[in-house]
Amino acid sequence: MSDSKATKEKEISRRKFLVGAGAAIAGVALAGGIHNFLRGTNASPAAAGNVEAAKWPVEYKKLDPDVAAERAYLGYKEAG
Amino acid sequence: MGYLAEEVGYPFNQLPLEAFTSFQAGIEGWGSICGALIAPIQLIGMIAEGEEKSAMVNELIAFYTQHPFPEYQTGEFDLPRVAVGSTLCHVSVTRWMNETGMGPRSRPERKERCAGLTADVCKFTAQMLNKYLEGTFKPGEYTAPAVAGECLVCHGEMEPFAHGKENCLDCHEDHR
Repeated sequence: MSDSKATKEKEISRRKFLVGAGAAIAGVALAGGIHNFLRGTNASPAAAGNVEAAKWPVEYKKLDPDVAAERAYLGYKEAG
Repeated sequence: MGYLAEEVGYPFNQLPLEAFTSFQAGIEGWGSICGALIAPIQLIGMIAEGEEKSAMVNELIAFYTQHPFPEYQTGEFDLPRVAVGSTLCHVSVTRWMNETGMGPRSRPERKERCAGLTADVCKFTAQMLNKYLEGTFKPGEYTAPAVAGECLVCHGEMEPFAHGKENCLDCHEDHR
């Protein structure tokens, strides 16, 4: 695979995710209104010129809760 | 989020962590919802669906209001633990400071408390999501206070109107 093709596919992958992530965040923020604002009431990703939306729900793997706690603690301290 | 990106990869590794920094201090200092809850709620919404998704979010928020924070402590401080009764940063931080005497907000103990609280919330979320993945998640360990439902029996339909699941009596007089 050429570098340019790999870069392009990486960009497409990122765009695919952003479509899905936007929907997920909107669903959390306000059940209806913002969701429709971000995605458009009837708009499909293809209609907007984007690629297909990311699959939902997203895959999850078990995390070590203690590691999650430590990482969160350190993240807070670094950010704040 | 960074840990999840490392363990799972896509799509979590596409989320810029910088996008979450505005949630600090109840969203840029407004004292609104505690920023420690935002990313976990988003994660639950990305991973789970249906009634279990709602149940986990409810469980997380009820946990937040009832758990005496901070459980996670490094030993640098010996911080008192306080259950704050609200998801609002304004209430959470001020109640902890007033009950412990560890104010003002600029005090290092306060920052350490919020860092520990963030760790506790993320640990609880990971435990719940692990159970969800195993198919063993059962809601009900933490639930909304009954008083909210009692108040809304009337005030859901009559003035003064209200809605919510937190403890109404934190801010409003009990006239039952």
